[in-house]
Amino acid sequence: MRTCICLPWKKTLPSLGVVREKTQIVLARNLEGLPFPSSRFFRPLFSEEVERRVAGVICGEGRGFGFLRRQDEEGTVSFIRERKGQKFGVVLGSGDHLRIFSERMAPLRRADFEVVRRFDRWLERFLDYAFDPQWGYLTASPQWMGTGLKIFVWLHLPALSLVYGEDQVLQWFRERQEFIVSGYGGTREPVAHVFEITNRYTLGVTEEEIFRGMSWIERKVIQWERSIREILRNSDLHRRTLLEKVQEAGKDLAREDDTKGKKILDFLSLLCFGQEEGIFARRRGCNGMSVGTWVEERLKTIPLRGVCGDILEFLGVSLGRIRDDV
Amino acid sequence: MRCDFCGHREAAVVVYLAQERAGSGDKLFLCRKCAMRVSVAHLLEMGLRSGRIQKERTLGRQRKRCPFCLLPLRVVLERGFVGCPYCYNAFSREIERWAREEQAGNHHRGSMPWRFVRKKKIQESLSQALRDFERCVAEERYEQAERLKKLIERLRSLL
Repeated sequence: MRTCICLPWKKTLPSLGVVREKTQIVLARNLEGLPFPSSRFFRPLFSEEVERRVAGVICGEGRGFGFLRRQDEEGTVSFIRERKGQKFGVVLGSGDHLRIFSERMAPLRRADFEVVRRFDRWLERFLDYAFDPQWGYLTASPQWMGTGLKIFVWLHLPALSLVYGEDQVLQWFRERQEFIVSGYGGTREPVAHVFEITNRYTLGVTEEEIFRGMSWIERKVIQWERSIREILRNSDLHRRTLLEKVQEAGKDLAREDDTKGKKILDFLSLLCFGQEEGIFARRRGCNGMSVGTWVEERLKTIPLRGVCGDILEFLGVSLGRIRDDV
Repeated sequence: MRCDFCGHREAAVVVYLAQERAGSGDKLFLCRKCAMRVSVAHLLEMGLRSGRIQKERTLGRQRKRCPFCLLPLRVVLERGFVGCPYCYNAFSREIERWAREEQAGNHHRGSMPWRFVRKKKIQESLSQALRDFERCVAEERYEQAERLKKLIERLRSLL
């Protein structure tokens, strides 16, 4: 019996040339006259006060929004609504008093941006935000002050990373001052070829300018990735090279006893990419590489909560569905 | 009497600080501005030195801290976080220097809360009305000046 990784553990396959991406729009707001969550005086007295005020507004006035109240293990309260692939809501006491956000596994949409702004304006009718005419909306981190708006775009760029190398891709991004590029979750090194792009400036620019700038960079990078993917897909030589690279990476990983999460996730990323682009056979997956069991075992050893778990979800890998295929 | 905190403005508020020893207490004279800005926690933490609060102006730059949340500038520079909205006033010089290097500008250009938009509009109308009033007086159009005077009073009451 030969073990291999095949399609069933991938939830869905996007059509050719579709770059996996996730976008998040976040607006940071703080209430007037109260210490920020970064202050030692915030918990427990003021955190309860913030929750009382915001929950009072949302539960009392905002019944139509259909939010569900959630509380995580650390006690962070959030009001979230999930509808048509969009996660929208407000998180309390995480970094700032309120963070209004909209998240989607899809390209940036103006509608999401408008929803966040509308909700912010609606909340403003009941709550007094900390605001200064010079500094704009005051936030716990001065990196957010001004508009308080950060737009995050996570892109899966295996083709660019494979052809040019991750360092070179990062270097290209860094030449543009208005964006910050890092790995998923702000790590210095990208894991699984997932790059996080966000706006650097929040002061001295308008919300509209931030949104337009982020949409522009998102479009540009996706175009670039697609053109490289097309070359890889249409050239036999490139396909063979990619297959060899993945096989070598798989064999190397299988030989190594102590492997870090990054290596495994990078390898999984290449597998996903190969399957999505039709470079590897669809039904038979990476047949010929006896790495299925090995990957399954290794995945048990890496911490799947936090960044690793998010990346697996981002790649569309569902654990427990890796199966043996004869 | 001068303010015990800033040391240069006229004191207008008296704060009575009760001490642990029964029957004894101390007074603190504060100007209106310091009374608005300084938190009680700060007054208690700073403690009394021979019956008076150590004056803020005697603190060196290294010991600069927010008067509301007591966060020292050193911690702000190390962690990159401020503690409260008043920190922006307390550390305005440092934040301005940082913003000049790290941000696209030194002034907010985005949207504003509704109450600020309203205030801004009233201020604009007021300055326009004041200009018109002066012109009317100069041109001896007293009836119109009278109307403008009433408008100015109404706008001032809204601010």
